[in-house]
Amino acid sequence: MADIANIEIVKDGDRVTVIGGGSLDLTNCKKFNDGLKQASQTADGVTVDLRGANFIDSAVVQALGMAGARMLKRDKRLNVIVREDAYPLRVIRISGFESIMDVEVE
Amino acid sequence: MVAFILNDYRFFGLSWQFYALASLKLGLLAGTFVLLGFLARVKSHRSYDKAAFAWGLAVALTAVGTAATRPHDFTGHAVAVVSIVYILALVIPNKLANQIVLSSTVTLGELIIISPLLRSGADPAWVAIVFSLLVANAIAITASWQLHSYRRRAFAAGENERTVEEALREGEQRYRTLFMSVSQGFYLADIIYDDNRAPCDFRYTEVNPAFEQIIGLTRDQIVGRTYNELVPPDTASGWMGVFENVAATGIPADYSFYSEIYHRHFKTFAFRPTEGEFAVLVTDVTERKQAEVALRESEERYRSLFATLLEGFCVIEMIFDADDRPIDYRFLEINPAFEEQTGLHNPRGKRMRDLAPDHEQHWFDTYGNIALTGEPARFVSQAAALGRWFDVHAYRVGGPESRKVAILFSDITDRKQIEEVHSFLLQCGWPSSGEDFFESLARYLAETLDMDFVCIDRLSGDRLDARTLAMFFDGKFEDNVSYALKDTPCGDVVGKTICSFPSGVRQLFPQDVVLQDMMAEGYVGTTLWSSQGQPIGLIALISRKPLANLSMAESVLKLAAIRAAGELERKQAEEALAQARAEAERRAAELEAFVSNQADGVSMVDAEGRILWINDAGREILRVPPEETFSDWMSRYRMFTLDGTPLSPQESAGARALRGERVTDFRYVVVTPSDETIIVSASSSPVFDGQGRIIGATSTFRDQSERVEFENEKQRLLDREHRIAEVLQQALIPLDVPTRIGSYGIGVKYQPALEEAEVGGDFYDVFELDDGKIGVLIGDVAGKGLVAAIRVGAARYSVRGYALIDPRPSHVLTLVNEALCKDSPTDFSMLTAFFAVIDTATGKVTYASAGAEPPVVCRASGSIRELALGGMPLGVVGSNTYVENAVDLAPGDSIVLVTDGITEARAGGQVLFEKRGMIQYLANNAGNSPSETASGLMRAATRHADGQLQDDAAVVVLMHENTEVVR
Repeated sequence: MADIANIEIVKDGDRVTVIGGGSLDLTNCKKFNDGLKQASQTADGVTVDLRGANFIDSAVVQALGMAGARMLKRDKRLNVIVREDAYPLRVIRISGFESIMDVEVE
Repeated sequence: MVAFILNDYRFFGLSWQFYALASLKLGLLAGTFVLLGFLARVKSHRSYDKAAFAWGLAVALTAVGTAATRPHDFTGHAVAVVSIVYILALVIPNKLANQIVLSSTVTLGELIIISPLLRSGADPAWVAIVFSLLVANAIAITASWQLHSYRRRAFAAGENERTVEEALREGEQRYRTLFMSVSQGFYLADIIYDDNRAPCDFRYTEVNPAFEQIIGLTRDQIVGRTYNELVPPDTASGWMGVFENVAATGIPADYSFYSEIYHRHFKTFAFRPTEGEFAVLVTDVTERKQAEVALRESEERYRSLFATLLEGFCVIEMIFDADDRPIDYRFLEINPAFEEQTGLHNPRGKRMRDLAPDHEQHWFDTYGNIALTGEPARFVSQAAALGRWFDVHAYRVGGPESRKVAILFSDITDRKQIEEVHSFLLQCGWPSSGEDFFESLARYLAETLDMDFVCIDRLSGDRLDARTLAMFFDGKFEDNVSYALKDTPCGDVVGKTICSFPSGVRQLFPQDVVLQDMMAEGYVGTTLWSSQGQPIGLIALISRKPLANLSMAESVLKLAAIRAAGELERKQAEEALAQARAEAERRAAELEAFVSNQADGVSMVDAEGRILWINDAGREILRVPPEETFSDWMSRYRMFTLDGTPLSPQESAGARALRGERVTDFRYVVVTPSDETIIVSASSSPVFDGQGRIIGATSTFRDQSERVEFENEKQRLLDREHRIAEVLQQALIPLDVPTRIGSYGIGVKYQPALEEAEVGGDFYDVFELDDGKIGVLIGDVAGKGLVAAIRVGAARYSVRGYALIDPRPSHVLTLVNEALCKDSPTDFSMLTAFFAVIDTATGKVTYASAGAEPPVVCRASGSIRELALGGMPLGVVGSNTYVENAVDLAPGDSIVLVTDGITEARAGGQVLFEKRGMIQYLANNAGNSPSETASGLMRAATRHADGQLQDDAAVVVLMHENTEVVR
């Protein structure tokens, strides 16, 4: 499906914020995944802002997991910000990502 | 003898002659009265005069006889003289003095006559008698003369000559008859005075029937009554004072007045028959007054019309020669518009030949004929001498002898000129005329309007400049030029219908060299408007003289502008058309060159499907030999659909385009006459004309034989891959999942999201372990295709293998995770998985989750609970360990495992089915078998996603059933 997704990558020095909004799934998350992959490989700090996201599917979950793993290998932790009442938080918790990344709930 | 007797006889001393004379006189006296009585009855005084003369003559003869008898006697002569005097007295005018003289003379004569008697000593008694006779004679003469005089006066007054009484009686009778029968009202009245001797009323003493009608009362009701008794006082009319004056002075008076009482106009004539009395003749002149008013109003109306008539009007008197040939006419009457209409000044009383010596003879002939025959005429004719055209209506006034003709006419010179302009504009510019329209128009305008310079211009796009289309100057054409409109009167014209400078134009535009050079005075110009209302040109007329007839010039120019604008627009359209044609030809050449170099075939057919044109590539694609025409070749090749069904020409792409269809990538097989098989892809479109009618079709086509072959090969490969994937998928998802293991019923359902030959990412497995245990696995891998399937396969069989060694779910997942992480050190496919082991003997379920969707436990009691789980997906972090949990399944309880394809089914792309939808379904269908639950849950999620799941989905249901329970 091609739901509306709002993706933005903000660089601030060595810190990168990948912002994903709307419905993120396999069909529209390429920019998100690519940006997150690159940031997780190079940036000192990577924050994924999913406060504007209503939905993420398994492709986005995999991207988060892989990014978290990469950061972990670099002795860093991925920072994820989600809304408490949003679907992405449920997916992240089911996936057990809180052990490898910092999940900030708002 | 007789004389002797007469001289000598004596009686009483007097001769017998004396007695005879006396007797004769007495006889004459008696005869006088007899005669007068007779004459009183004669009809006329002339008869009386004749009788009186005859009597006088007799007296005279008597006197003469007396003198003759006594020729020497003084008495005889005296008698004769007296007699003659007497006769003369009869015929002299009637004067009292004459009568007295006459009587005295007669008496004196008688005394003279009798004087001899006295001297002769006659008896005094006889003398006294004779004297008495003489006196009586004189009295008789005087009396008769008086009567005679009265009669003469009576006759002189016009009365009958019968008697005075009869005359008066008849006169009265006649006047009464007249009085009673006259149409005018008549009355007699006495003035009544008030105490101050002021006239205040009058009393009717006599009225006639006409007056009765006027006043509306009978004679008996009127006579004896006063005016104020009969009608209300009418002091406003003022006649009372008039009547009083008539009665007082006897001076007759005419008096007209309007009576407010009777609402009538009266005309009266008052006179005084006797003192203190007056008579009035009354005439009701109301109708005459009204007629006079109507006539006066009519006259005023017609005179006003006559004066305000815009048309010219005159009355002429025709002048003929001796042979009644009209030679001239004289103007008797004209209206104010005459001079303006004709240009003739002060013509009244003058002759036309004097005013316009060259006036055409036909005018005189026409008017002469009207004067003679009385036949009116209506005609239009030119008066060249006046330089005008007239529309004339002429008719005779009075009879044939009057020879007067009234003429109503209009100067239609302008109209005729406009008609001529119309005629010119209609004929001008036709190809047969052989002259350029604008040059013809410029020449015509110059000659018709007496202009020195005429130019017809075309405006530039920015309307700042103009270029002449025709320039006619002083009788010849000049070369066309371009010029700037700034500081010229033409610049003022643009955008205006008419722009005029009747005089002094060169002073207004001192920068305009042309105006200065030609000493221009008058200018009039107009804009040429396009049919879209845009200024596209102008016409300018310039004269060295001030414009005398500006309105005419403007009218003509307006007409000419309409035609010229159309012609200019046509000219521009033709130029644009020629330009477009040239552009089209250029583009056609370019297109032809382009198409000719195309690798694709391009062709065009007409409305009947006849080939008009095909490029070289087209001939090559369709294998047309150089010596063959395309039409012949085409008529011999055969067409088929790709599956070999014969294709008729009507089903070809070109034929369908001729029916209005746009055909894209229509593929078919052509078998050429040389038995070559070509797979062709054709696209065709109809070609429309300006009215939307199909006039042909264009087609592009290419040889798709190789491409089709390639696609067929690709499809074969895809099919092969699909079959491999299908086999692999079937290997990952066991075909034969048992519906029951021990006391557990099992239901599974799997549905890939995509139709393509891709292997889905979801997987599940249900397998038996040692000691009556059942392993249940469900999960999802990120990504699709063979790589994902292989990874799933590795995970699935790893789970099976590790579970056989140590069935603890957390241990199994930890080992599988480590294996996957080692297997994919870089980019990998993450898996989520839920693995549970069910001890059929105890109903205990131990399980661990690696990021999988938490299962749901449905109790026989109807309660439904989601198992709270969390765990890292497999293949993410190698050193991860998983938590193990347990739940008991009592008989009737079931556990439902799903992948996220179920919970993330989205309605309308937004609303998730979620775990709520799943639990709702299970709650509503609690009694179903595991198989029914698995299928039903899949259908519910699919319906929620509007019939198309966005991701693969898998459902596994295990129910702890009692052996006694039969589902």
